[in-house]
Amino acid sequence: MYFRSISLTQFRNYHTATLDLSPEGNIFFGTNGQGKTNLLEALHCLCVGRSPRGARDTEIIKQGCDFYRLSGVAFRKSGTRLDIELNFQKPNRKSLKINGQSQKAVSEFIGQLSVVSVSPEDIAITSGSPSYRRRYLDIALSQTHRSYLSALQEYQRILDQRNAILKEIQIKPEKRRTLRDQLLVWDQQFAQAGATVIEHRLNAVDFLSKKAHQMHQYVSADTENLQCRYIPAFSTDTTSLADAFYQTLRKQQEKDEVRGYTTLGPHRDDLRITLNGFDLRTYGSQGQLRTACISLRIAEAEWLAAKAQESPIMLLDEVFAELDLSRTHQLMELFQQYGQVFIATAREADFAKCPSSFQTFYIDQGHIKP
Amino acid sequence: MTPSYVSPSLNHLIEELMSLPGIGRKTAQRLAFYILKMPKERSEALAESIINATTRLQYCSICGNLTEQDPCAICSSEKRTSTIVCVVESPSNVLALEKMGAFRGKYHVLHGVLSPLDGVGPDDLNVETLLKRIPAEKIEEIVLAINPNVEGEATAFYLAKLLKPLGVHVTRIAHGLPAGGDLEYADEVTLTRAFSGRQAL
Repeated sequence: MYFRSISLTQFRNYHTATLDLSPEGNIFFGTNGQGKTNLLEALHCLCVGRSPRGARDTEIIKQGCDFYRLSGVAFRKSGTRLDIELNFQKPNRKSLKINGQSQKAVSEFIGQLSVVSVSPEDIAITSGSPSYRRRYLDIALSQTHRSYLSALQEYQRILDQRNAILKEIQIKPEKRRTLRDQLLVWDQQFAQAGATVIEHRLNAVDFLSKKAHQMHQYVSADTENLQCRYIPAFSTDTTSLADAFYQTLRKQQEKDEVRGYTTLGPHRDDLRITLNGFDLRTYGSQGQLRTACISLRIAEAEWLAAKAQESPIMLLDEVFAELDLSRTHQLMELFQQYGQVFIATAREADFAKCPSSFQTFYIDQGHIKP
Repeated sequence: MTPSYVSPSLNHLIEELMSLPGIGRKTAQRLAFYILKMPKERSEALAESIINATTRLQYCSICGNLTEQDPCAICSSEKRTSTIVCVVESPSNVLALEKMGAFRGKYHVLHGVLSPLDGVGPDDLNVETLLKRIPAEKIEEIVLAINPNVEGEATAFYLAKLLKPLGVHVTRIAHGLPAGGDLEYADEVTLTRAFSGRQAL
């Protein structure tokens, strides 16, 4: 999918602006605080119906105004034209139209237009705690598999119930025997939901790891070998995942009782990332961490493209700052093979060699010059 | 907040109405003003019906359903077989199943489902009387008609484990596609469930 044009009205620091876009790539140049990120945010809002930064709609409106409007003309791979319009009027009237038809729920809208954002905060995927890597997997999978999202929500709900029992065992050891029986009531479906989550994740990581490896190899000019592995906290060789999980729950029960919560399961699993055989999080340089996280995001874009049969648009916010010139150039080469790309950067010099099919824009205090 | 010039009795009425589920301040105000505008007989009839219902209705000592006389009409009915009992979460579920009209057995109301998060354990459910009913009424089959969510699932599992050793046949109602539904409009989760619950023809 790609956007041919977008218009912003009273959105962030823009009064009105219209951009005619290149289907391949678009670069927004400008010094800090001019509104480059706001343009990426506008594109994200049009695809997903809400801000990627978790901002409230009232905060997005230009200061002193009482509504904002975003509209865009997009085309699917099949050639279908989509006129998307997002309106928000203070205090809380929001409407979303595609080709003039109101969309009831934003959730129905999600997944129709896919987008992958690469932002400076993404560095947490490679350098942060396991929860960021689980989130990375969860978001990619939720967009392509509804059954994953429901299994994940179910798993979380049973986990909360299970932990409530474990907490009680911890507080009232005298009631341990009856409470243990209650635990068994939950564990069958807990293992089942957990197994579904793990199965999906293993499947996705298989795909993502291969793609991320290729990307990284290319960007690092064959010098770095990126590998990702998802390792469930129990062995899965002999029995089914659900059985193995159930057996492990039994084995670790006493540990769980002492701690007062479930100590292992997909809610604690990690995606282990290595670079040339070494743990990336521990040994990676800032540039390597950044490159790996871009590789993972491109892999995510490939995943969405493969599963949803439509390439997502990619939004890259100041992600080249930590990369050397050769990596930046390799990435630019790479992006030409993908769907539409949007890049926001303050470093114009790095992009002197950008492809001729790319459109450039200069952003100056909410004004846009081609 | 209600302005201070609102009389205390009006304010009281509004706040009582607000304590009902699904009723916010605005709706409570509208209802309160509507009640005040009603003819006196009507508003008294409303008040009386609430008092009547709350004083006369009690739980049936056999099945736990709401009733005016104990045992309830279903439990004391000669026309209904007691060899098959349908276990539900709440009295409102009995109402829904009775509307169907196809079930000629009796009921048993649990008054809740297992939920450790809310402090609801097996002892808080109306299970003890069910166990006594099995030999007393010569129950052969127990149908679990509990909502297919995480808590309902756990409750069904718990009951099945408890009841099977007693020699009764434990079944559960099917979950899947709605009648008259179209495959195209079913969500993935419902479809998955419907598929795993497929039946031989």
